[in-house]
Amino acid sequence: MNKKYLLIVLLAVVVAILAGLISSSLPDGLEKASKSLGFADKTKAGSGIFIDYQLSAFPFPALSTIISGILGIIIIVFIFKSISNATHIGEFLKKILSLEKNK
Amino acid sequence: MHIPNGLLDPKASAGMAFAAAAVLGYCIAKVRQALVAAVPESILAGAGNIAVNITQSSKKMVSSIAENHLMKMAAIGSLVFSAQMFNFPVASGTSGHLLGGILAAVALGPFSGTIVIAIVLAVQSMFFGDGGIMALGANMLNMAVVGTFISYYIYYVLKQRFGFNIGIAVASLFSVLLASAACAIEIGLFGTVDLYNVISAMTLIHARIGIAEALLTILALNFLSSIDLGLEGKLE
Repeated sequence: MNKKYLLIVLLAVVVAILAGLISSSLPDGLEKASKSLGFADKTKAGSGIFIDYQLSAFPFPALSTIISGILGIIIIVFIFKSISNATHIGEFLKKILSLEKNK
Repeated sequence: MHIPNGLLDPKASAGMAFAAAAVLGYCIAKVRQALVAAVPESILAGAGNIAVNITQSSKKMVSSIAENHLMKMAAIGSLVFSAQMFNFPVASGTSGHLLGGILAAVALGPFSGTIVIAIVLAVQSMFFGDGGIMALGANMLNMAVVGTFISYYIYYVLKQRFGFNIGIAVASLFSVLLASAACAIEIGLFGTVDLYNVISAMTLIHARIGIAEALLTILALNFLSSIDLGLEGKLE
């Protein structure tokens, strides 16, 4: 990965750490509206392995948010890396070029 | 403004998922087209018949330019993801976080930016319980299509007259406002809440969040342009 992109991913990790340490736990805009307009009871809790960016059965909430944030970043990088690998990209052109040189 | 499960009528959710998928499909086609076009002609010409076969038979085949672009999307995607985890308090007992639509669209171009936001939303709903899986189509429509794709063109128009920073600020504010209005309209129409009340409640809160979005997006994009990232989807 290009150094600049690595720098941005590191910045993302720093933001995830900050989110674990000082993020506000107040309800967000939609949750607030759902409470004040009385449709909060209709909403169902989400599903997933890290609900609300917490690892269940892990005692420290801040650390748990940081870890789940970093795992999320890894998942996202992995998805794009997979797309890149699946489309096979540079390797194929390199093969063509070496074929051309060997002629 | 991630809509959870249970608020929207399932039929409407399915319809919105199709609409979001259509826009995403268009964006993927546009990005692929740009990446295939970026393969230097000389390389393909030098490779003779083999290259002709590749360009004709497999449009999937792209170059290291594409690999580079996908890694850039991964980097911006992870930044938007972690920024969305960071909730800051706004007035009256509410919190907000960055949406990142304009950040992604200006850093990567509108088509790649929309794909990135959609993938971030999918990851959030599948792994983190942030936004329901049933409501994923609606959330993609609000934040990826309205908050990123459409809002990018506000930036695009304003940038030419008023410059980079003003364009980002106004587009960021409107991306949050328009996305929250779209979210409120969906809940009003396909849920059982009064449409007028939910629109006014949502847009009032998100006007404040939008101001924070504008400031944070200016900060982030000026940082990205200071490290010569090559903004607006320019292929390196």
